[in-house]
Amino acid sequence: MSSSEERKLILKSSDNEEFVVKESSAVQCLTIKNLVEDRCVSDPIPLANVDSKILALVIEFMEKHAETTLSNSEKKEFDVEFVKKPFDDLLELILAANYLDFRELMDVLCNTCAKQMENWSVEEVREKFNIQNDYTVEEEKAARAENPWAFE
Amino acid sequence: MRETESLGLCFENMLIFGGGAGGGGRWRISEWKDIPAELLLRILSLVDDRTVVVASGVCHGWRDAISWGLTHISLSWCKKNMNNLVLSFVPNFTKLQVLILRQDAPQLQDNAVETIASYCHDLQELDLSKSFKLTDHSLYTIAHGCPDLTKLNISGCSAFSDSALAYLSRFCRKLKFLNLCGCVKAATDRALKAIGFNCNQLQSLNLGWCDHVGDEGVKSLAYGCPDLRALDLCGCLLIRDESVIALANNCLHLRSLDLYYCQNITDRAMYSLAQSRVKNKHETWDSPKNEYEDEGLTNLNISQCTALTPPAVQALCDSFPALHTCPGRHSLIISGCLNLTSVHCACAVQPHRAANLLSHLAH
Repeated sequence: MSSSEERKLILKSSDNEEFVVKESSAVQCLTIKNLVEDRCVSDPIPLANVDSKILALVIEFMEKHAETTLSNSEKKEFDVEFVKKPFDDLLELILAANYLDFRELMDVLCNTCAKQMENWSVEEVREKFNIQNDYTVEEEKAARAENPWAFE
Repeated sequence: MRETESLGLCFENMLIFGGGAGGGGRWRISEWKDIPAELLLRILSLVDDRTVVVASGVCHGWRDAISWGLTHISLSWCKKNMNNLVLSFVPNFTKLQVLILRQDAPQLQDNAVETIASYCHDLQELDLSKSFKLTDHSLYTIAHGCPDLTKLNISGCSAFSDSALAYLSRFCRKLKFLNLCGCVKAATDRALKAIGFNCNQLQSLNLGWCDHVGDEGVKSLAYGCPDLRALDLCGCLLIRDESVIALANNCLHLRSLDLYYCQNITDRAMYSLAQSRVKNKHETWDSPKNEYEDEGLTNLNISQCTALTPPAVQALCDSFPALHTCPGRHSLIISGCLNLTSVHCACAVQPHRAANLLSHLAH
């Protein structure tokens, strides 16, 4: 009845680039779906927390997973290739997927992130996530004390 | 102070990022130290326990988030320094509900268990199996610190005494699962009487190889723990028929019974189980309990119970359709009872009913 298949949305990244997507693909992101259902859709939809580079990747994933002609195993193959990105990009994508509430993408990214983390030391985690050590010297000693045990 | 700030920031981010409704006005995370707790925990729910420990050492924000959300962890992968790890790790994780510390070689000492009992008051499940070095002091601290325990595994902790175990039962009254396999000094009739008196919600008890266990103890259990579903008396050589009769008459939900090597057991015990089934069926006829409760015994091990004869065991099989002798599904274990090979389950005799049973049991 409704022409929602043909309906398009315009998404605008934080750096003001506009992307046209099918509404039917975009509603995989519950954030966008809620806007559509509440009829709060502005034109374009501003996504203040997602820059164009990341938004393009999200849209690539979104459109692939919205394709009804693809089988699940084909989608999985796509996912495997999709996550072969620098860790920094994966982190950016996780934040975007979290913000957009895009469950499928979150699952794929979190699994990848988790798998990579599994052999890291505390220092490696800090380095990859770009986190400064904020322990005092005493706390560091106590925390460090745990580290050897973590590598049995 | 710093820790509170990080935690505050985490909560704020979590509140804003959770849900996903609405459009603009969101924070941008510029630093991963401020990752929303919910998001960090989601990722950590996918990694192994060792990595969770590593993550908790990264920065204050992460430690606080994990401390806020971590309820289950196993430290069994730590093969050499588990005691020190518990001492330094546990004080930060007071929300723990499940803590698995099963060891291959005994490492844990009383000071580690004391630490757990001091900080983890919400603990529901604790596995200390093979903690050979622990003394009664550990049981006393657990009694005082962890009253909400429902599952306790102290199998292989052979230094515990029965008075300490009895003491624990007075405080940990919500116990449902208790594994005392190999706790020869602890599992005596004295301790079992205390457990029967105090732990009325008990569903599963493992007394394997506790050869001081006698009829007085098991009878106390039967009278005190009507919800008992699984009882392992493997190697409890002193047990006689009166124990099984008490169980048959009082523990109407019993599904698994292990009497391996209980060589004093005779046909009387078998008949009492079979007859209790008939009585039980009539009583539960009108009750709203689900069908699976009604299955009765599903597992029975009577290996080496050489006094048993075929008619008695067959009567048992006939009363309990879930006891199987058929290959692949056999749940009636009769190793060493060469005279019982003629006993067979319903499947062999009634194929139609067997087919119904199969779909019935396939839950």
